[in-house]
Amino acid sequence: MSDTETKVETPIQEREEETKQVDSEDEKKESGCPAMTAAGIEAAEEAKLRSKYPIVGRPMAGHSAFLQKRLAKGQKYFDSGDYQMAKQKQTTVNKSRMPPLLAQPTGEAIPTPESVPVRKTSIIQHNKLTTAS
Amino acid sequence: MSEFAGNGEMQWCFSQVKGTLDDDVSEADIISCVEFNHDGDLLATGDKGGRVVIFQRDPSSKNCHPRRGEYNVYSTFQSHEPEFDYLKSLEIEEKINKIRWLKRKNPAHFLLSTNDKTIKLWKVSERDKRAEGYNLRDETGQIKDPSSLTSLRVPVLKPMELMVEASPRRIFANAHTYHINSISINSDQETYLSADDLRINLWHMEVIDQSFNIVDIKPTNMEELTEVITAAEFHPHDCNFFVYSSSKGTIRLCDMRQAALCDSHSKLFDEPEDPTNRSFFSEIISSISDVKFSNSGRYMISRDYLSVKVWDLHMETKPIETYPVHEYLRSKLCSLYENDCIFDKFECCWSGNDSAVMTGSYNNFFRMFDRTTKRDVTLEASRDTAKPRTLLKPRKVCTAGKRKKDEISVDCLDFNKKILHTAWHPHENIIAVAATNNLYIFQDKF
Repeated sequence: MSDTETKVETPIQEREEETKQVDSEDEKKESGCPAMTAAGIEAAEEAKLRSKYPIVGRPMAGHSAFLQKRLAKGQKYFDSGDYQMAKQKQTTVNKSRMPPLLAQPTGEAIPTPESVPVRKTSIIQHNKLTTAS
Repeated sequence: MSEFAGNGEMQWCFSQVKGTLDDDVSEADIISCVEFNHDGDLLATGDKGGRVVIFQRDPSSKNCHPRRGEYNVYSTFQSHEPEFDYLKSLEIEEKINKIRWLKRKNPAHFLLSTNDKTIKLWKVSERDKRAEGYNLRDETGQIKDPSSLTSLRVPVLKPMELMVEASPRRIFANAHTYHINSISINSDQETYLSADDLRINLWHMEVIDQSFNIVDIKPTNMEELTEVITAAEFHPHDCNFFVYSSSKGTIRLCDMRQAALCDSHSKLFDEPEDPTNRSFFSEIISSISDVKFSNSGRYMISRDYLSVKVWDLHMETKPIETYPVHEYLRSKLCSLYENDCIFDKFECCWSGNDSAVMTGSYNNFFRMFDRTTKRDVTLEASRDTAKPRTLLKPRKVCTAGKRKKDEISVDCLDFNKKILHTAWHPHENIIAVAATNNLYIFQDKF
């Protein structure tokens, strides 16, 4: 990896060093970049990431946020009612055995006075005295 | 009886594959753990649907010549069910994270299985006899009128078709705030540990309402959190030692004789990186996903994202061997971070005589490293070779430019086909490899 490696190296580590050098030579031929060590490859990958997502956290501080996200694994629901709704949505998608009438939901839009169609006035004539209350 | 090639190249053949080979895979069937028992006669798998399936070695395959590694279904049961934590509004998955076998003490088999929150002790027993000739009940089970009895008889035991029953004997619940990632049975066979992201608890098999907390790395201020526990295991012979690995790439050996709370380690195994070489990915790829003691107890292996390291328990400063699993992925770290594959948790395992280590990779590849010959091989768990006695051909991944015949390019690897769980028979060269919903059983060439 770097020149500051410990002096005693096991055969495996030496071989690894060699294969890395072979890989970097291939990279040289392929892309014309300077020889890449493992650290160099990682730095190049990091540069790629930063160019895509400029706000990705700094290594140390970001790690804490990543860990906290990891600890809170699993989808969070607002409450048990929310959970039941989500589950029901799943099951209705899988098995729609409901009769056609019930299968049609009333829709998700919340009506406002402007969007509700105007009702025809009733044909029954109201006595002005009774409508006061 | 151990059988090891011990010489030159070991060659592997397909033996069996369990699970449907259709492309239509239900998520519940995805295998989440694989574990042989202590004599290798039983092989347990856990899946995302909370089920445990136990396979048993076919007795005739053991005794025939040449020996074959054949396993048939022995028992299937639903170990865990999905739950909902009302306090935190979180779903608790039923996925089986780990299975660990107890050593045999009597005709029944015992295993511990765990999901994210609850550990269960299961008893798996055989019933092959039934009592017949009861006095108070007739053959159909109907209660007889006692006044109609004129004589008494002693019920006789008659053979019946083998029935394998699994029953939960202990349920160890409510001891973990975070997700359980490991369980490990002590060599004393009476206690075991369970580890979540921040704590490790010690249990006694007979006590379900109490456990001792032996490691707690939760900081007072969660903003200061820098590492989590990723795996933990008891030493195979010394009942007082256990290790736990962290997301920062360190392994700590703790001695329970030292203190009740083992927050300070006895040994810290860490191979620090040159700080000038650090990148955004350094810490993430150094996170250890699995740690396993050798059967001898002298060594241990750790798996981080790109390598398997062998450590001598007597040397904390660096591993004695480092094996690259898929070094060609280093130049793909950016994409692997984007698709979350960089967080995949690969397991690793030892061969029965500790001469080889094995771990999984992507594209249904798995890797074996022979520690004596220093040779390594990449094999594939593929439906194409799913015919008995087919020899597995070594696979090669090429990184740049010229792709030789039969080699596969890094960009063509299927990152959805990951082999996270593998197991090696304790005495023979039989391996079990979990590839999504399929369990492949391979054995050495016969």
